[in-house]
Amino acid sequence: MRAVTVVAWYELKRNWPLFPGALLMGVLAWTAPLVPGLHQWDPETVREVAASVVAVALMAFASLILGSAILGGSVASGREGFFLARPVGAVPLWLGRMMAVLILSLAAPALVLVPLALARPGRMIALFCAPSPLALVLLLLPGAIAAAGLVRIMLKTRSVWLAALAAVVAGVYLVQLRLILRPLFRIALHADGVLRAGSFAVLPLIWSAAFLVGSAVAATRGRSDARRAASAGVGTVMVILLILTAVLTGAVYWVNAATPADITEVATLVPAPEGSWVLVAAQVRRAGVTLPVTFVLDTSSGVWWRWPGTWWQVVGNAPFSRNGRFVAWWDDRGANPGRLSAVVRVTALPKGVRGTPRTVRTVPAPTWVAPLGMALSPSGKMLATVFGGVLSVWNVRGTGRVTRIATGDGIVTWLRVSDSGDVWLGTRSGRTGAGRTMTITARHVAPTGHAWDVIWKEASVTYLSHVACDTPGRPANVVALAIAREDGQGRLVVMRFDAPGALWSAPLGTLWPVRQMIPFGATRIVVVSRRAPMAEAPLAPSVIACITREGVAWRRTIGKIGWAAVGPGPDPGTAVVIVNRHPGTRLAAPSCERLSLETGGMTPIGSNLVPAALSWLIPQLPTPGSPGTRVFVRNRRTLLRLTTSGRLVPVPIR
Amino acid sequence: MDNPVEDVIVVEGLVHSFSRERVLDGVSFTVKRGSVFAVLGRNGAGKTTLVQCLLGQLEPRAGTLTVLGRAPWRERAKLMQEVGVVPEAPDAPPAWRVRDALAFCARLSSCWDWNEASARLKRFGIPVMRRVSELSRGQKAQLQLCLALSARPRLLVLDDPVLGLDAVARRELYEELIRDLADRGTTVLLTSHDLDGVERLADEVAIISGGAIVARGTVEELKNEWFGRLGNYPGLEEIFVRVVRNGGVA
Repeated sequence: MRAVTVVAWYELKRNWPLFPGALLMGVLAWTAPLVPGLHQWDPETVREVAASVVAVALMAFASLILGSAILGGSVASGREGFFLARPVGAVPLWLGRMMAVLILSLAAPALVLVPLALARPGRMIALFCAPSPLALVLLLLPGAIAAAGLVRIMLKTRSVWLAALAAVVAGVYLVQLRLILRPLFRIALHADGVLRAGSFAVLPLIWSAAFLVGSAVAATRGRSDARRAASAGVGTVMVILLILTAVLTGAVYWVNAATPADITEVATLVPAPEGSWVLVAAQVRRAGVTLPVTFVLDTSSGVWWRWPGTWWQVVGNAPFSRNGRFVAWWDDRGANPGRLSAVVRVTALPKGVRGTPRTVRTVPAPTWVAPLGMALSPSGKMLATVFGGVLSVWNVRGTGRVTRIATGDGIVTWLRVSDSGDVWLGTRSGRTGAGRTMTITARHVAPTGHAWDVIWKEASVTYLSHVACDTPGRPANVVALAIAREDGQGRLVVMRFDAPGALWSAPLGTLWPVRQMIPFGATRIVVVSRRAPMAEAPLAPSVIACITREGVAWRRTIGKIGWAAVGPGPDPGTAVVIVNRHPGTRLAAPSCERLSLETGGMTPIGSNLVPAALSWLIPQLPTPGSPGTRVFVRNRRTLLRLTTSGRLVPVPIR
Repeated sequence: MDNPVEDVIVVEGLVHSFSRERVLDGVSFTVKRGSVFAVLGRNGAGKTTLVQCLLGQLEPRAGTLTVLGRAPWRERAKLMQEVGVVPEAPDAPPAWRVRDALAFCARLSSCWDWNEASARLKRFGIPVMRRVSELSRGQKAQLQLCLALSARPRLLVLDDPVLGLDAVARRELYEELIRDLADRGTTVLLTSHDLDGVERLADEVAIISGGAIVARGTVEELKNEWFGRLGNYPGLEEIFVRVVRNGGVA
C-alpha cells in the first residue's frame, strides 16, 4: 500500500498544474455571461452550461490524455526501467498510477465547478451528484483511463496484426451488443432493486473491467517490453470482453426465454373465438427477474409460441381470426421515430403439435406508434388496420391493400372485417363522447351509419356501452348498445351497422354503470352492472341481468358488495361467472360458477379461480362452447381447463 | 542482512527472443559475491536484454536465473531492495527535480542513506532543485549512480553507465564506484564498451556475441590464453575485437 501511495503521490505532484488550471477554467466559466452574444440568456443558465461543458471536457481530457501518458507513457517512451529498477511491484506501480489519474480526472472537473457550487450549492448537488449519472461515470472512468494507456502502448508497437485482431474483436463485440441490448434493456425495465441497477450497469462494468484487467496485465506481463505489454493487455481485454459478454448474452437470453411453466401471474387471457388457442399475457420469473411475457398457447395440445408483439396489444386489439387459425400483431421491434420500420404481421398458427407459426403477410405501418384498431376476418383472409384517422383493408392471401379510407378523428371502439372486405367501424369522439358507425366496403363508404344519439331520440345520451353480437362464422355487423338518459332510465338497443333503425330494443329500468355486456347471439344479451354511481365503486352489489326482446328475462344480485364477471360458458345455453361475494374482506375468495341463461340459476364449478374472465372485457369474445371458454387460472399460476365432465385439469405445457 | 549465497548471480541456459529474433541463446555464467563481472559485446549483442532479464524486467523464454537467491521475474520487487541499477539511458522522469527523484527512491527503499546521497550529490556538484531534464548527460548518469548506491545495494548492475560521457565524467563515475567497492564490497555486474575502464575494474569478463557467451575468464586468464595464440600479451580491446570477429576462434 505504501508503494501505491508513493507512486500515486509522485504522479499527482508531476501533474499538479492541472488543479490551478481547472480552478481558473471554473472562474472563466463563471464569467461566461459576459461573452458577447450570450448576455441575452439567463446568466445562471449560461454559467451552469459553460461550467458543465468545461467540466465534462476536462474530465475527458484528464482521463484519456493523462491515462495515456501516465499508464502507457513510460512503457511507450522506454522510461519504465527507472520505475522497475525500484523495489516496487508491477501491480502497486500500476495501481498507484491508476489512482493518480482517477484523482486527477475527478478532482479537476470538481474544481471547475467550485465557483458555481459556492454560489448555488443546492443546485450543484442536484445537477452533478444524481446517483445514476455519477455511478455511470465512476464505472466508466477507470475503464476509459485503462483503455487510453493500453492504446498508447499498442500504438507504440505499430503491430499490424494486433490492430487487425483488435478490429475483428471490436466487430464481434458490436454484434454481441446488437444482440444483447434489447433483451437486456427489457430486463432492466422490469427488474427491481439491485437487479435493475445491475442490468443497467453490467455492460459498462464489463467494458471497464476488461480494460482495467487488460491494462494491469499489460503492466505486469509486459513491464519494460512494449510489444509484450500490448499483446498481453489487448489479448486480455479481448478475451474478457468477448467471454463475459457472451456469458451475459446467454444469461439474458435464458432469462428472456421463459416458458409458460415459469408463469407466476396471469394478467390477461384472451381466447380465440373458435379453436383452442389462447393468448396469455403473464408475468414470468426466472433467476429472480420478473418479466411480462405473452404466449400463444394451444390449450388442447400444450404447444406454445412466444408472442413477439408488445404485451399490451393483447388487451386493446382483437388479434385472432374467428376460426382461430391466424393472429395479427403489431411488430414494433426496431421501430423508432426516425424510421417507419414497424409492421403489422399476420401469422398462421400451426395445426396440432407439429409445425411452427409462420408469417403469411407483413403490412407496413405508416407510423411507429401502434395501430388504433386491428381486426382479422373470420377466415383470416382480410386484415383491417386503423392508424391515426386512416383505415386500410388488406388481402392477406392476395394482392395487398384493397381499401384505404380516411375515417376522421375518434377513438376506435369497434372494428370488424368480413372475408369479402366489408368493414364495420365504430368510433367515438374523445371530446364529446358521441359515437358513430361506418360501413365500409371495397366500393363505397356509407358515411356515418348512425350516430348513437339519434337512435334513441327521447333525450341526450349520458351513458353508453356497446358490444358486437357476433355469430359463429360471421363477423358482427350487429351491435348492442346500453344507453342511459339523464333521468337514469336505460334502454338496450340492438342495431345493424348497415341499416337504419334498431332491430329491437328493450327497457332496462334504472341503468347503473355497465361493467360488461355479453351477447349470446343477437337475441339475448347479459348485462353486468354495479349498483352504484360509479362502476368501480367498492361497496355495491353487482347485478346480472339477461335481456331479450321481451325485456328483462331475469335479474340476479350478487351479495351486498359482490363482484362478478361473466363469460361464455363451456356449452351453449350457459355462461361462466367468476364471483366474489365479499371483495376486500377476509372472506374474499373468487369462485367460478356455471350460470343458466334460461333461469339465471348458478351452480359452483370451483373456488380460488382467478378471473381469466378479465379477458371477457375485450370486444372479441369466444364462441360459447369453444375450448377457449374453458380456460381458467388457479392461484395466479396454473392454467386450468374445464372438462365436459365439470372437472378442472391443468393445461399441458409442451 | 548477510546472505549465505556465494554465487550472487547464477544464469543457466538463458534464452530470450523478440518476435522471431533470438537475442540470448543459452547464456550461462555465475557471478561470485564481491566480484566485478563485466559483460562485453557489440551493440545489439544482447547485453541490455541480459541485464533486463537479470532485473526482472523481461521474462526469459527458457533457462534458469537466480539473483541473490531469488527468481528475478517473480520476486522483482523484493530483489530490487538489494539491487542498485544504473541503466544505459538515464531514464528518471524529466519533469522531476533531483530532489523528487531522491525522495521517490528513498520512500520505496528500506535502507536508504540520506547522508550518503547528499554527500555524493555534493561531490558530483548536482543541485537538488534542478530538474532532471536540465542535467547534462554526465550528471544524469551520476544521479543514477547516486540513486543506486544510496539504497546500499548488495548487487550493483551497471548497464553501459559511461555511454556518451566525456573522459572527466567517466573518471568521476569510476572513482565513485571504486570508492563504494572499497567501502562495502558490493558485487557489480557491468556492461560497457569502455574497455579501459573494464580492464581497471573487472575481476571477470564475459564476451557475448550472437546471443551467446563466446569467451569468459579473468582479464589475466584471457590475456594468458591469447598470449599462447598470438605470441604477445594483447590488451582487452585486442582480445575483444578478435573474439567478436572470429566467434572466439583465434
